[in-house]
Amino acid sequence: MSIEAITRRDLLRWGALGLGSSVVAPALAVPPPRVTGKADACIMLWLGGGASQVDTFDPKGRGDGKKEAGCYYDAIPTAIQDVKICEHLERTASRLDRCILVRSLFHNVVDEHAAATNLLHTGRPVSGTVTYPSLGSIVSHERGAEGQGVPAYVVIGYPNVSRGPGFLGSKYGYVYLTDTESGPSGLTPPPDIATNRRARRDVLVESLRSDFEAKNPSDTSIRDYAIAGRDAARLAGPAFMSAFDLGREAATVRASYGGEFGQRCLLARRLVERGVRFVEVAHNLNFLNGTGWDTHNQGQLRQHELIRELDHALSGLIDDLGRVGRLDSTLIVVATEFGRPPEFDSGGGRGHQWQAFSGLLAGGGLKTGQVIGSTDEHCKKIAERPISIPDFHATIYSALGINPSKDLDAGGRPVPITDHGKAIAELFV
Amino acid sequence: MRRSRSILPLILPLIMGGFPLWAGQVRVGIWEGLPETWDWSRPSANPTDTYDAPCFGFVQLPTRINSRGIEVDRVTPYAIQAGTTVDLPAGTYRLILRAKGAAQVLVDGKVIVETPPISPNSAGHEPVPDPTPPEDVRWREVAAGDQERITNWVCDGKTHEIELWAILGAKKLRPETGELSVSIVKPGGVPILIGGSDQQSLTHDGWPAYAESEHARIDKIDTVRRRQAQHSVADEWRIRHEIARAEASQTFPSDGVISSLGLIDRRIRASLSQHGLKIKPAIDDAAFLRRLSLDTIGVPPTPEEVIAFVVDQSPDKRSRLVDRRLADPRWADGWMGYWQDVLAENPGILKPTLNNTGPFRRFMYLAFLDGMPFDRFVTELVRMDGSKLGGGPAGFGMATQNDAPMAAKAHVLAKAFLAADMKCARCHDAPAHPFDQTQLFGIAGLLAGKAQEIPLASTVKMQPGGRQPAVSVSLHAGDKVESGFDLGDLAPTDLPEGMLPAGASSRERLAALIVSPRNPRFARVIVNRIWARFLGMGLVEPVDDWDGSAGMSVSHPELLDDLAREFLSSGYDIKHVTRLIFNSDIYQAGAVNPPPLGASAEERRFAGPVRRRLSAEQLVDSLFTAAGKSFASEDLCVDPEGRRPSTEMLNLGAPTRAWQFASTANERDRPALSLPITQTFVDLMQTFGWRPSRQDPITVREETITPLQPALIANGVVANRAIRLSDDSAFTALAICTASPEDLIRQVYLRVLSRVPNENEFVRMLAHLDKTFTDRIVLGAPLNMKRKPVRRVSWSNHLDARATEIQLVEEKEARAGDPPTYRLKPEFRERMEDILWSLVNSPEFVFIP
Repeated sequence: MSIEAITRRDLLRWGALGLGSSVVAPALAVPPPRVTGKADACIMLWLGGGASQVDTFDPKGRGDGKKEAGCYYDAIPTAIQDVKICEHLERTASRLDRCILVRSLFHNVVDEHAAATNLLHTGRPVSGTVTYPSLGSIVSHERGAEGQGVPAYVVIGYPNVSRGPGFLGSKYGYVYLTDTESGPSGLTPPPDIATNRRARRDVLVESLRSDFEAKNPSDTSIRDYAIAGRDAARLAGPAFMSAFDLGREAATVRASYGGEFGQRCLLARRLVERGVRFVEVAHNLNFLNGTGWDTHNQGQLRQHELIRELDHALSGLIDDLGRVGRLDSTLIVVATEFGRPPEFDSGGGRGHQWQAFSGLLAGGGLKTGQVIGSTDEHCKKIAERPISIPDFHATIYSALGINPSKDLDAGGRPVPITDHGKAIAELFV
Repeated sequence: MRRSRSILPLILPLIMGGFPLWAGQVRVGIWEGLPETWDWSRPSANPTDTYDAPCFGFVQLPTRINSRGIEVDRVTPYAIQAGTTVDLPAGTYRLILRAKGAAQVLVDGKVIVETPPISPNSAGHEPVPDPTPPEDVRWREVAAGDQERITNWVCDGKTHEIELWAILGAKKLRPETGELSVSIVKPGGVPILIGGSDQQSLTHDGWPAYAESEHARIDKIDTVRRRQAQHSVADEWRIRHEIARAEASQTFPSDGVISSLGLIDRRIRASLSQHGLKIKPAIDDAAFLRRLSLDTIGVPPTPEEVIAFVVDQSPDKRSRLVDRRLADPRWADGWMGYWQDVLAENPGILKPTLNNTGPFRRFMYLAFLDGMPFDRFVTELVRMDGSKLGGGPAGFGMATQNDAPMAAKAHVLAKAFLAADMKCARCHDAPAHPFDQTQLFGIAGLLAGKAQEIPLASTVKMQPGGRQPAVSVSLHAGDKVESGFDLGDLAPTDLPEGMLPAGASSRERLAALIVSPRNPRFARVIVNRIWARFLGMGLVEPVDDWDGSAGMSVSHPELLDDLAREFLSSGYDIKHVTRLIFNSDIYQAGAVNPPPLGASAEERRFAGPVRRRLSAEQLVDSLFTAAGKSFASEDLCVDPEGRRPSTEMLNLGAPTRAWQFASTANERDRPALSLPITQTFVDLMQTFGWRPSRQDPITVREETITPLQPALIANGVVANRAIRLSDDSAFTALAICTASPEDLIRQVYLRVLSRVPNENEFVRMLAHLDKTFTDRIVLGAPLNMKRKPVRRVSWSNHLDARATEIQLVEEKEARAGDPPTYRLKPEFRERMEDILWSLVNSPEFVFIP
């Protein structure tokens, strides 16, 4: 028996057979065999602001918005037996067999959106000496784009450091857009530039480009920039940019996703189809209820509209990926920087809670229809199976066939992809 | 000049039709440190500061400085008082007070109008205020977060005393003037700011022009005061520089040739000739002017400068140009991005995140503007005195959310000034560097003035079952490290006599040890930094890390020491060393390819400067200089109302040069917190290697060429604004005024590429205009200028759903760019824009000649 093949169960059995604990203890340190999935792409729905787990995926009790703590809504049964979620997640509920609920996420980044957002994206607390890369940048680094002439990593949301490539360098950064209609800035020609005008500009610039190259025949920097300029014209060309033309989708498909957030999810599907490896879709258009998911005070009152929009978009995405045959190869992640307590604040909303909150995974070829972990009766503490952020990330990386303990090179210093994260083994076939 | 006033104010009313009459200057007093509950009772003490103002309009107050000329914060709350006498014809007037916070206007000692105080707001749940159009369409709108109160004032035609009192800053409120003003309206007229003899009007055009001139005037007052204060410690520094001069030839013995003239080329030629190589031929005059301008003032020359320089026949015209450029105040702008990177200047406009510093960009800018000797610059930085959040060197001392801020600063200083990379020593003894944790925390102790404790997060975590760390750890969390500067052979610890006064602080001692003329490392590192910046590659590589396991790689050790000697004996004068470089044949030679990655010292031969791409700042500044446009971005602030303290939200103002931008990221994804125009600049600059957030120090930015770079110039908002023929574009003016298409093409080339087009280019561009030139002008067309609406969204109301709606509209408008002029026919305008587009998209535009 080779050392790799020794399983934890073997060790326990040997222990039971009477081998001394002195032998067992160090042997237990042997890591369990690595689990790995076959997903090729990932769409992460980011619920910025800190989505309330008690009002969404982990309803407990029934609160009144004042003194009585608990879920603000009723709970309904789902496609997983004995598992209930919020009434406003009706469509998701009937598709929960294609999802995995993780109800025992936690971290210890206290009460600060930016720091917690950074943790959920990079898997590490902020460090004074290293800027860590995001999930999307690491996936981009490890797997590149699946398609030719498309970026590996797209953010539909605002640019920030947490979403960035950190020490991996800008090559592994994202292309971003904040508006599905206008496409990513930098790749979308201004609206007043008609095709013929663009063509005549291209002729003009190409003449200047080749003149300048000819004038500096052996200059490698100028040559590289000229090549990049031609590549840029291709990237801004129809092959990739047609992804942003949602008008090409059937009206029924568009409608199945719901409003602006849903349309972003539809765009994510179209990007994945063209070979983008990682798409992050931000859901915090705070005009629905003012606060977005950061439901302090009166933000709570119309939180159900936000939940319904999530429900519509998420269920639409699950169905549509299934329809085009990509649900098994596309991992959907729903994540947020922290959860919220079951109690209400003086304005009827909720504060922040990082000790226990929920996330969701769907598709991606994982063993779905499971609930991982649970919280206590008030949804305040984890009752069983705590899943750290590194573990959550290790699960995502493993589903994408990436080894979560592989070392990356941070300017000569080895930095493992996750900080000792271990994938949730029972999700892997 | 706007601020010059007539010496005969009494005859002005006759000229101006009898209205209004002010008795000369407005005298302004500032009283600091008033009680939070101040009740307007006149302070008994004298004002902390007094100065003269042209009228009752305040956009900036003179900055307070310490005895050495370092800017310090005024103690809040403070009051400003302005007084003058008025002599108006009898009648009823409208009197307008605009102020951010509490203010009063008194006539002959009696309050006639006042604004109430404002309250802090941290929650963000207030409703977005409705737009408040001014009483008359000609008046300027009330600025974001300002209040307006208007009263009728009946004047009897006699002389009256008018007085303004306003309170600035308080606990949890930033001290900002906003657009504090008192003006007066005659029936049917426009508001005129009270005081002075120039009639300054509170109109759409009047106020911005006044504000600009007032900013410039106060900057001048600041400069005069600062330089006077600096002068008061000049003796101390003169003595130190004499010591440095005496020590220079011992630290860096010369090999006999003393003249600094030709020193660089002698060394370079000697080493090239060993390989049978020569310095590449010099670039032509126009290219030299462009290269030098970008390297000094950060923007290309004007078309007039190009022509004048090219036709100049004098043999010393290049060295005279070098002197002119070194004397240009924009020299300071040219250095900013570099030192912001190296010193990790990282102000955050929205709540502290990791390693935020104060905006000590201002201290750096002023130091370069004043030509502060570099040893003094380092000393002031290490002293960390003055304003923390208002721009002084104390801001360098900050590192938010960092559990060992002084260790972070020790790392920055060692890397910047000694090329000692102690990053790894933060958490363990550096495996690839000769530094251990004790050395780093020892320096931190000198900065903190006490022994430093190792925080838990600055240790190597041992996971049960995890692998053994590959590094040695000699300290543990909670261990105390005594203060001390001990870098072994790297830097001596004895100082020349007389360098430090008795009773110097541990920070002053640390600064002296860094800049000591006996410390050969410092002078070598600084001259190498200057060399690498302008020649594209260091004499020593890597520029900021000389002790790595590969060892220090010096290509021209004698030249390095020659320059270091020059630096010390010139009194640590950056300009002196730079002048030597700019006047050398090697700097003026044609560009060469960069050597392969990790090239040995032997391979770094310098037949010419290495080809360099424009920095992100140079790119943006060049685009807008060529177009003659202003950025017109938002103030870098998400709380224009000023209702959060500086510790949480800064107002960095509206940038006029690209280095002034800052990160807009807030990790919150809230459209209501976006700065849409600013974001378009951040996007472009970031793609070209600029870091909106500078959590750690770097010297060389990421230089990888990616398709996104040309893509953003081709399609992005910023570049398309620069080429858009809008009514505020210099290109539009050119297109209207120029007599022939040939001349237009020539002028455009001069503006964008600092040269005249060649024969082929002429033919091609003229063909592109395709006869549209002749009939290009639309006579009598109106101007197509949009005025930006006043910002109503502020932190206090950003969670109101309307805030998001407003900002989404703003984003759309920002993406639309500048509106095209109606004065040029679209057929012509589009073709000329195509030409401009192709010029800025050609590689020639993005590379330094």
